[in-house]
Amino acid sequence: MIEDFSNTLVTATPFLLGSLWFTITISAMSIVIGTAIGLLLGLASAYGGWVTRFLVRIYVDIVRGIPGLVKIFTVFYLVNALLSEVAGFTLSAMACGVVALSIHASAQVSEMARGAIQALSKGQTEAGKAIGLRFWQVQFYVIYPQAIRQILPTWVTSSTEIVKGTTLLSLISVPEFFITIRELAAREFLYIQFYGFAMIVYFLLNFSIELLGAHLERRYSRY
Amino acid sequence: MNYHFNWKVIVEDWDKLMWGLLLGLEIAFGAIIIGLVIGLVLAFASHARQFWIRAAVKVYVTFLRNQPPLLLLFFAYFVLPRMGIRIDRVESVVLALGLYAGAQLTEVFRASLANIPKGIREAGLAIGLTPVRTNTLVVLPVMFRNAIPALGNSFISLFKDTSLAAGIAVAELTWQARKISTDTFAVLESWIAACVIYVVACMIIAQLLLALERKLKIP
Amino acid sequence: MQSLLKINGLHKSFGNLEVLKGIDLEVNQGQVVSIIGSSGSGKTTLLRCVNLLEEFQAGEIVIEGQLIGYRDKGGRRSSISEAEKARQRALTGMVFQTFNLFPHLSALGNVTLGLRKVLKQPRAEAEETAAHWLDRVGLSERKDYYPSQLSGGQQQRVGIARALAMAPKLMLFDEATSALDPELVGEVLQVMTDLASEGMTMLVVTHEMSFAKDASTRVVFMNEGVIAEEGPPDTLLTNPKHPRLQDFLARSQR
Repeated sequence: MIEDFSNTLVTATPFLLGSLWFTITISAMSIVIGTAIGLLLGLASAYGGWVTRFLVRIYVDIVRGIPGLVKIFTVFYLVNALLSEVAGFTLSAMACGVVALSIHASAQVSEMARGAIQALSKGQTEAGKAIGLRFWQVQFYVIYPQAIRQILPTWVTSSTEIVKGTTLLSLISVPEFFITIRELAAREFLYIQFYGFAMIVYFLLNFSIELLGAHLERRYSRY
Repeated sequence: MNYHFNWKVIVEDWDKLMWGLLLGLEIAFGAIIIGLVIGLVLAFASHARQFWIRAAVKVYVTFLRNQPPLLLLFFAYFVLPRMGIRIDRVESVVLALGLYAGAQLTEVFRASLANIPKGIREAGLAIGLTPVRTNTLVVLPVMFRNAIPALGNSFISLFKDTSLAAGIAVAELTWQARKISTDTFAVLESWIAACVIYVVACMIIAQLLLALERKLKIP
Repeated sequence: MQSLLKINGLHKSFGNLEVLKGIDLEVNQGQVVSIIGSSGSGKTTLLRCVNLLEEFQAGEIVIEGQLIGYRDKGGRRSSISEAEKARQRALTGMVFQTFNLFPHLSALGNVTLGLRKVLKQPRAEAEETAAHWLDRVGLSERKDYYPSQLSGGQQQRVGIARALAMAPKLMLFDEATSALDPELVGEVLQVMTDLASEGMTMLVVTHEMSFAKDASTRVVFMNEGVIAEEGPPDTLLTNPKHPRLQDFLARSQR
């Protein structure tokens, strides 16, 4: 049992590594884009007028009400159908994945950001103003360092969700890590071994993100 | 744009979508029950005196909650039968999501437990209750009621995760929507319908949970 | 007069820190003993040893002739079961500084819990007893209120009723009024004073010198884990002999 597995593993290593790299790349891109959009939306809804807040609220509620897989299918089928009608091109499966996962992350991040900024805003802003800081200075030197510390734990959760979400992309045939595992397991009939192996890999990926988050939290705690 | 909206297919297959929705809810229900039991037991177990019990709980929780639920689903469906456990598609979804939820809920209950002032346990002991009865009569009810909002969120999360069952061809809502979209080419209509149904369903569930929370809250 | 509580040579350490360095104390039936001292003197720890919320390493605690906390097997300490400890705890009633009411139960529920689950009284009887005790502490109108709906003073009175309903031989008060707003202290002290005058045996850790002076039979001053001075309130409070007690009283006069 172990012998077959190690043999197959050795032969399959290039495919596994390649697809793992793909998973990491997709995750990284989605996390970065999703966080960026989310922060902007969070800021907008924390400081914006009621129209902005209303629009962001709608966006967040809709995005969060739709399961990740449905978002992926929607982008893959619906958005592509629209794009091919209107613009004459379609997104690759991988691009669809990144778009869908980024949107997923952006809704979560925007809520966290809004919450953290609003929680800090009044008292800290007044204190900042009282010592003569201007609006953007207050933002950068007072609000953000504290907001980042508050957001970190939830951001870690959101990022690990993205990594887990990449497995869903196997259902639209994106050549990421999980689909490779599925194919290998089925082809070699080594289900326990390959799925078990996958669990270890995903655990390591996500746990590393958790550790990174903990490290960042400690760094930002040094006042 | 040359697209003709063909809502008729949605109307015709509306019942299939609704059955899919119902199946999703049933799966979520089964999973949350499993998760609840695991979560309650492990939350208390994580305060056990024996080191190995505490360690085992920590390992389970940390490992499981970092797993992609789809992987757990595939593991349950493909691996368990090869280990001699006979399980059908729906059961494997409920089991996989239940174990996943168990890891989340252990943390939820642990946090709720930690927020109970130590003095309340002591008051229970002081009137002559044994430690076990203090836990069941005083600590557990308070901990559970305080955890209801987080429990509600977990349920909604689980409900959304039932969409993963489509990956192993379980006929829940997402699978039905995909089938309609690929069978009838009514891509826009079917995916809009799926999104709308999920969003509305989540809103309704959230409201129901809020009402439940208000009813069960400790005054 | 019968000896209700007898403490001999009580030693208690938290890890390497010895907090009780040999306490000898005797309380007879109907006596009210006030324990005063600065924080860290061990007075709360002493109280918590009596009802087994803390374990002690050496010495004896005897309540009405019963050895508390462990069994004596030919001179060696042998541990007792949790069930036995629970039974011994029911001999005393404790009132906590932070009230510690059960938040998920009404005032009535707080008092009936012990009656129904420990004394195994049927619901109707338990509710009657509980209503009686809540009335004694002046809260019969609030018996269906939940702790979050009661003021601090009211919560503490429920706590007192909850302890009294179990018919303890000895009532332990752990700084019962320290967490209360000044306006609410009076109502609780009144209940405690009435209790004292009715003959309840009480061991009271307190900062309220008025109670120590007016309601107690005896005052005990603890300092650094030992009883430094002990005596009737009139003499001890007006004519303290121990230098630490003199400092303590001088500071408390402010």
